[in-house]
Amino acid sequence: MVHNGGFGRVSLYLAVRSIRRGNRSTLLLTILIIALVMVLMNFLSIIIGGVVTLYNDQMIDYQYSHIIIEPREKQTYISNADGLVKRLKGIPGVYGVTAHLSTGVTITNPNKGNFQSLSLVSYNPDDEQEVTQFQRVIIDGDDLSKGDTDQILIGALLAGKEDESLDKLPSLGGVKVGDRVTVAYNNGVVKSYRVKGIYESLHALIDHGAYVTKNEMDSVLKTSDIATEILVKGKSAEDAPDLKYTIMGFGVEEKVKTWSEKSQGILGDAIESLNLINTIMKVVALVVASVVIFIVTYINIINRKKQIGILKAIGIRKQIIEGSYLLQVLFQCACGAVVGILMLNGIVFALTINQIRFPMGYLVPVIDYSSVAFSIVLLCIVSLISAFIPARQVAGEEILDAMRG
Amino acid sequence: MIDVVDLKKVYQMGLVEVGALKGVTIHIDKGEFVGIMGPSGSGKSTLLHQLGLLDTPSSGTIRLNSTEITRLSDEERTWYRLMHLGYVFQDYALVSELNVMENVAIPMIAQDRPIDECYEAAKSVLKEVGLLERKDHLVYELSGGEQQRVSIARALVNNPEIIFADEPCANLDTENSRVVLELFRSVNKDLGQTIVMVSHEPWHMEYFDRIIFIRDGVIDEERMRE
Repeated sequence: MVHNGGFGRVSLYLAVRSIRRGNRSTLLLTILIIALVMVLMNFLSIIIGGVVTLYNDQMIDYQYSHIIIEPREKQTYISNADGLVKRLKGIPGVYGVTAHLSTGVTITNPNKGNFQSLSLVSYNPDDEQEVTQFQRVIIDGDDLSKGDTDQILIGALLAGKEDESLDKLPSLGGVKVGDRVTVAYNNGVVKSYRVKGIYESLHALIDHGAYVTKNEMDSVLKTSDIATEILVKGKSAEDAPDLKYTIMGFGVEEKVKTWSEKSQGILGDAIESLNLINTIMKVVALVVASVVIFIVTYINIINRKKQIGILKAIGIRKQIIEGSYLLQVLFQCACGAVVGILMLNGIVFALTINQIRFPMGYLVPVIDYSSVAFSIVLLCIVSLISAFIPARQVAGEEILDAMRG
Repeated sequence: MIDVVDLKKVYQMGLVEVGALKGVTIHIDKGEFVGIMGPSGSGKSTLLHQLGLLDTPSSGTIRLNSTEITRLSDEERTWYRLMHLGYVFQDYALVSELNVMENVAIPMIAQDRPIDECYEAAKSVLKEVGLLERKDHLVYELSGGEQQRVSIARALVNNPEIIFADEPCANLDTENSRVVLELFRSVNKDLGQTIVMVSHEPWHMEYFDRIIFIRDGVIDEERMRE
């Protein structure tokens, strides 16, 4: 006897007219709330995304490039490094190769007596320019040249400031271009170098380093044709895994790692902590959203209690009435999502124009659209539940009670 | 057509039970225009609500045609209201978010009939009640009398077996009340529509075929129109 057809159609019919002719302020307020909750759920994500991107870019530009090749198991050096560099340069998809040789040293500023023990890295400046970006972040002086023998390039944090209380890390106490520093090598050689340039990448690990030419280090250490690591630049960071397997396919027996494999441990924990905070913020935002949407929907439905009573009196099933409210909430969620995405893009645009300077550099926020999509789905589910409860409650009331309002 | 036997309705007011209907037995034939009259609180609206399936009686039986409606489930009662009954309420009870034509068409739309067919039927009924030119207006743009005519059009659109009207003229002036009552009478006479209407205005009696007087929840008197 009971007819069950037309459920969705009649719900949609009522929902469309309710949206078109209902209270505009309530509709706009609800859409705005959903949009703001979406922004709240994703704001930290876009900042974290920016931090991760910035960190990754710095790792790629100054530390690891796209692929890093390390000595074989139980070996300290890559032997026949020159030959390997030559082979790597011939592999399709390789845009640049540079070999690094590093050794532990103590650098002293003879003027102030400050000294720092660190790993001094050497490279061939011609090769290095094709792989890393040091030449672009020289803030004073010049980059190293292939023939330099008594010149050193040092990071801004290692150089330090005259007023050492301003230093973020222990430094040489304000070394400038043209000053001389003394480098004591592990093999006992002590040599004076002129500071040729000071670079600043804004990455603390990188800016507390120092570089000399490979020829210079080879002459001091009496080595040749060895390296502690070889950096390979490919087409893009995303293509690094493919390039890794291409290189391995060419018979390279050294350890071949992508930049992401190499850098996981360093900032990984920090990123995980930030992601945890982000998840907590999302949950809080969802709880706030569900409460607010529940209140707005509840008031909205209570205000329409009489209308619901009328619809029931003339024979419209309560499931159809509930369905119409759920469709309205879905519409509000869809509009809220669109407004929210526009707001997020607006924030990203504003923060791209007026970049925030983080300690590690200028941050360009990055929207993670998979996270945005996930938050939209969550928001829709929460909104539907928040709307369903009061809709069911009112639609389930006795007709005459509902009609009294 | 309508058979009511020993109908009782008791309301629980806290710890006190209040009997609104105390054993009502009536019979209404198809095509009758019956008025239920009585003083305030006599139980006339309560009786109409039980007959119209808007409320459930405490005991007794109601048969509409051959269906004993007191045995229907909530879903079945909803469906029965939609398919077989029409309502006109004191405060018009129109849906503010629907325009005039949509308000009239909504009982047909709820039956899952094609929208065009529903709108055509609505326009036809609106023409009968003289409001076709107002079909696209929202209900708040109409006068009280016009809103009540829309309400009557909505009650008629499904060709219901019975129309229940609960003091439909209570919020109208005399002129508009006459328009509404004339409309009811013409529907009753021309279409043979069964109408059960609650009223407390003595001058409405001239429109009814039969008047059932109710007092303190029991039938006090039944009178045929003179």
